[in-house]
Amino acid sequence: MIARKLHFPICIIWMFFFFISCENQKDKNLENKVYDALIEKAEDYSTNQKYDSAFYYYFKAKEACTNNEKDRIAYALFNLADIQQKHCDYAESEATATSIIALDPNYKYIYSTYNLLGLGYLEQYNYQSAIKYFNLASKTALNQADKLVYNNNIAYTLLESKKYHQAKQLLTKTLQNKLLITDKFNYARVLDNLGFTYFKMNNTKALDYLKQSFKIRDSLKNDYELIASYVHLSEYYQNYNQSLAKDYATKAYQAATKANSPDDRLEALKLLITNANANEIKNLSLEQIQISDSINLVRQTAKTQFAKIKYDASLALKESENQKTQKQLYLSLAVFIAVLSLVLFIAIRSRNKRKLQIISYETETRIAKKLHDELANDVFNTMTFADTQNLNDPDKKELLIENLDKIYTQARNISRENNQIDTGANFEQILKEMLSGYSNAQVNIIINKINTIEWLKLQKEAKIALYRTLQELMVNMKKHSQCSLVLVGFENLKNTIEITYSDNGIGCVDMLNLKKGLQNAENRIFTIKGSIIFESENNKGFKAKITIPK
Amino acid sequence: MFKKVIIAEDFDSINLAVMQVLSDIGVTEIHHAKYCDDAQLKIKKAILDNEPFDLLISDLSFKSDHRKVTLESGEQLVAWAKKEQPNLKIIVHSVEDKTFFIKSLFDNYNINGFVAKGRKSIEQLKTAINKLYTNNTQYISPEMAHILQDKFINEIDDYDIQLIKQLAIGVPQDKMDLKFQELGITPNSKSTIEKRVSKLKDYFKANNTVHLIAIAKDLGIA
Repeated sequence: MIARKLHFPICIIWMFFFFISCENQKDKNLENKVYDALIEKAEDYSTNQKYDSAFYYYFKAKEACTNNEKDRIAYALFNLADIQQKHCDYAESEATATSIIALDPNYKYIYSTYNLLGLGYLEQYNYQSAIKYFNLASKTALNQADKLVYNNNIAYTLLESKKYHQAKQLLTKTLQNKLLITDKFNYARVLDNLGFTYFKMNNTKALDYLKQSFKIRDSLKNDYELIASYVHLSEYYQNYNQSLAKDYATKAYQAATKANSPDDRLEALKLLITNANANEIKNLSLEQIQISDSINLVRQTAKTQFAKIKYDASLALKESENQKTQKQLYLSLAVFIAVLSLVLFIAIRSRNKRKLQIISYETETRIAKKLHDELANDVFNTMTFADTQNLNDPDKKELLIENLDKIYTQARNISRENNQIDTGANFEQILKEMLSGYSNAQVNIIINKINTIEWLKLQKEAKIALYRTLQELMVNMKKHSQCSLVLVGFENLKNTIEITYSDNGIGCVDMLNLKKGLQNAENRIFTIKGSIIFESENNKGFKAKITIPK
Repeated sequence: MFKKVIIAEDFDSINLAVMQVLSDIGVTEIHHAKYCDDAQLKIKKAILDNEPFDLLISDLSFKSDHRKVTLESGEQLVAWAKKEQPNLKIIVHSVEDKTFFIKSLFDNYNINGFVAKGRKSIEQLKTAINKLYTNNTQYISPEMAHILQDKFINEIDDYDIQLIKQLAIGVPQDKMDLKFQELGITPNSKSTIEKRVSKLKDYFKANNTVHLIAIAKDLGIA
């Protein structure tokens, strides 16, 4: 088989690739990035003649399409069929190409599929079918230039099937088309084919056409194209000039080697053998057998490879689909978690806000109650006193001033119980002084190991809560306990801080009542996730144990 | 008596009372300022005129109002004044009762006196001024006096707890030094231990050692 038409499909494919990829995007306005990436990879391998890898990626690209993306599927299928044909797997190639027609009979580039089918039949020496499909291709071709190519293919098929007359007619007609002259490659091909047809018809015009074609091809400096001219010229000179024939055969062999076309090398070797002398024949024949064997081996392995590649690709596809669904699962899970945490965050924040509002409200009412119970009563009493008594009496005046002083002290106490707390570096000192502030001639306050606590590491909220709680305990002590000793102990444990309060007062009989009075202290400790335990017996003092996390 | 005195105080009634006190005890030149900034200006001017003040009586908290001020509190005024004129005597006259804070005024700014606003503050102010005029010591209201003494806070530590524990399990006090040596607790001299025990007795209001242990047990130590 000589390189008279092998180049056509490839040229056409390259032209189409750009068309199709562009138009796909324009037409559908739908991108399939996976497909595009896979096709690009496949094209890369195809250009480097790594057809098995190219096949793998074309197959994956096809599988990456949805059923609606007919153009994309058709393009991938076309390339698959082409690769199969290149590896002489004609049956599979034919099946693949037919599936394109089945997929979309109105496919814009259907003619290239017809051409491919035609080429397949031609390779299998089924000239009738080949001509039929080349005709279809020629009819459906979108432009004149392509039509000329297909006409040349028809003519070549006729030439192969020895219908020289018909071939000559078609080629002559094709040659008259002015468009052809602009396409030097095809012009040279048509000229070459016509020359060869004349040669077969023993017409003397043959040499002229063959030489014309050779001239054009020589100027194009394309080894691949030149092979055909050398072979035909060699065949032509066989009958007239043996040495020239041998010369051309050698050149054909060299060109085929350069172009890395094993089939053409075989053809050239055949010619060389025909023209060689007895000494050379042995070596040449051996080489011929070797090439032929290696070609067969490559093609045979390729054929079995395709099945495996197809299987691998579908496996990989399945896996990627699995990954895709897994990815989607993870994504939706992540979204779900994000939404959930957002909702939780908002809920918790609003709950905390409400809690804070409740706490501040409770504080307000507590202060209000204190003002009413402790201050307002005393102010009212003093007012009544001033109203009814004769203040000119120095004793009465003294009493009035004393009452006012009491009110003043109470007001200050209320303020002190609610003022700011310095939670900074001075906290330990301030806490100590707050506690000691409740000591007097009657009551001794003893503080145990307050310096063992790392106050700076404790949270501000915890410090405030602890300060206020102890303050409330001290106020409670002063009001009710009648004690003479108070011990406040601090213990730095592994994960918690433990504060114990104990006094030697009268204790408390009614625990329920006590808890009510210290409800606030309890709440404070709970808000910082600590705990507080009260313990009391009649006449046995009162104890409280506060545990707060570090 | 002090000749030139300035009062920084934003309440008119208190201002009047203090001015009354000052004139009663024979101060001839009395100035007053309702803002710390004004007081600052007056003190500066007096220094420039070479007729500096002898005494500053300042409140600590000043109500903030529409006026923008650089010195916002009595604390800032006191700090500035002592730096500007170290020989100026300063009495702080305030309702402030945070002992730690009051102590820090003495320690950090070397104020000369603190009079707590209260029923007896007028009397105390008189005493304070007289005391500061006659000698160079400090004055503090008797109800706050404890804050300048070391014994203000009753603190105990592990050493004391150990001591009580050892007493509670029957170690006699005169053998305690040996026991502590054995346990590796320092200091373990007889006199230190004796001092500690009497300190604890004092803290816990105990009449004797047995009493001390009984009280400590009741309070949950030992």
